[in-house]
Amino acid sequence: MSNEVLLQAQDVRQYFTVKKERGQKATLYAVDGVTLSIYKGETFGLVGESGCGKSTLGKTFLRLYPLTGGKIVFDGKDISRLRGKELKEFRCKSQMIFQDPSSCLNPRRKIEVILSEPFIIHGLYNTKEERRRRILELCDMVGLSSAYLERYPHEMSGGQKQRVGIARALALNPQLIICDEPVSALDVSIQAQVINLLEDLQKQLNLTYLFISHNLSVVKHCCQRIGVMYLGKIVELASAERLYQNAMHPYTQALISAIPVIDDGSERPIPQQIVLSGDLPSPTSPPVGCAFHTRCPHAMERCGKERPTLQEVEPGHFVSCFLYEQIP
Amino acid sequence: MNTVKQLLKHKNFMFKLGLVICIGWIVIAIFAPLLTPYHPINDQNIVGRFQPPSAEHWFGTDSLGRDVFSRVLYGSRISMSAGLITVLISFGVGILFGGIAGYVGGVVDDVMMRFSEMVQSFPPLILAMVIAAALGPNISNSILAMAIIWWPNYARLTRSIVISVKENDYVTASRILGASHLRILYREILPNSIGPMAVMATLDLGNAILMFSGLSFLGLGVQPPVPEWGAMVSDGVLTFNYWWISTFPGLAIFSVAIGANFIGDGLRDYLDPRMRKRA
Repeated sequence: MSNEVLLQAQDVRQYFTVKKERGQKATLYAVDGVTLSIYKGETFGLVGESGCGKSTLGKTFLRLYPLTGGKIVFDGKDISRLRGKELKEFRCKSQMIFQDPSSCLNPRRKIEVILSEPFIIHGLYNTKEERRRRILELCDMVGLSSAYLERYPHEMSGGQKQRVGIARALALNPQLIICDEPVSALDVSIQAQVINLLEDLQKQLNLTYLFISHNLSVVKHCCQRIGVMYLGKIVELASAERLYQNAMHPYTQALISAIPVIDDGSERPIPQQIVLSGDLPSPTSPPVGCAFHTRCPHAMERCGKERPTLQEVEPGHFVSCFLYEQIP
Repeated sequence: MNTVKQLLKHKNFMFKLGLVICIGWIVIAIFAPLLTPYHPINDQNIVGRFQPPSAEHWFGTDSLGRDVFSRVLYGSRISMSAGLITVLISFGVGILFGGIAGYVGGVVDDVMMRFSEMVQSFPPLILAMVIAAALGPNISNSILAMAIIWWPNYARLTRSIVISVKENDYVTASRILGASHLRILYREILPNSIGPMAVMATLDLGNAILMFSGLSFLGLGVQPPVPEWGAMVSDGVLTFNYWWISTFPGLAIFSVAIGANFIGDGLRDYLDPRMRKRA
């Protein structure tokens, strides 16, 4: 990990228009003002409950949607308004690994054809032998036997399919890979294999990961820095170590207290579990003020009126909560 | 090729029966001159008209003394090709129209679908009659008229399938790899949507033949003396004592319609993963 920023997001907003009953339209605030930096070579974790916008944020970084507002700078270049040829060039630099290995491969194509796609699209390795050699190289990297190249996706197991997905993401030599819950659909025994594979590849190819997950143990294991998302906003951002030792935002505290602890009879006190009441508010009508105040055990009067901003409370540790607001 | 082999191995008896019937009619259509004992138009024999089925005239003779058997066999040429062409045109137009509407979505989708609903809001047979009558009653105009009223079915089906298929991660992956929209439609979405549409096309083949026969029955399809099943049924209606004139072309229509339906049913069962045994 270096101090060079690979991807910088400034106040990124991604809204969608959704149809409600009786033809009414509503705005869905999927990502609402996210500012963060991802450094070269690091694994940045993004956690949060379902529907908080973490996948959308990942896809926004890949420019899959027209950006509603804000700015994304990738490797020193503003990519937030790229189009056509420039966007296609950017596609080589960032890729994605999907959650569901069974839907990320076209069921009607053999693995070899699926892995040839990136090269055909970008006009790389034009002869058949060159392409074949590169595909075998990719298989080797992700630990996939070349015998699978002749198979169809439905003839493979989830872990093998996920390896194909990783090989496809690596095909164009990207710098950034968005891992959208890459292991949550896999068996536990396979999860460890895939995570180790991702870590090895990161060292080998100097990759940067944005690791999206709702599994806190996995994130703790493989990420250097972690952002916690709630209703389209980052509520806390810190190094993995600090976040687990000293979670500040009430939401993060609740999340971390929910990690199961094994009672091994040692002296270590078992932390009190914080149980949040209620559901995630609808992202089409987020609460006024702090998005979390409807469920926050520490909510104050002010939280329902003003919206807190992300503030650095200790070096590298950002929290968006009035409890920690420093009075200047 | 592999898929075709698996499909044939599939235990469905009805599917094979349908295949035999339809391929049989296609063979008959191609080799009609070799199989018929008489010429369907020129071999008239006014003296020997309204003959009941016999060893000489298997299906009897009609009001002009023409051999009904020969006319039924020759009739397959026009009926089968009219059905096939109608379905193919509607299939092509429907895929294009529905594919674009479903893939692009938004306002484009709304406008395109309202247009197809507009076409669908007319009673089909009457619209076909109006078009065929306005353009002049002949084979190609009738086929055109049928295609015009038929394509919205395919467009709507294609649209709904495309909308569900495009949500798959492999489509997103293709976009992230930088594939063009055309490539995504052609390489990722279409191959995964074609199954249900092929089923609908085979099921429709029978309907199209029926409708074309209906138009001919009303005098808007082919003109006499060209042999066509619908027109031949219509011929016999006025002289119902001579039942064979209407019955045999009617049975021909029935057999093709039911054969096509068997194929469609078999195809649907085969494509439904719950009905399909793992290879």
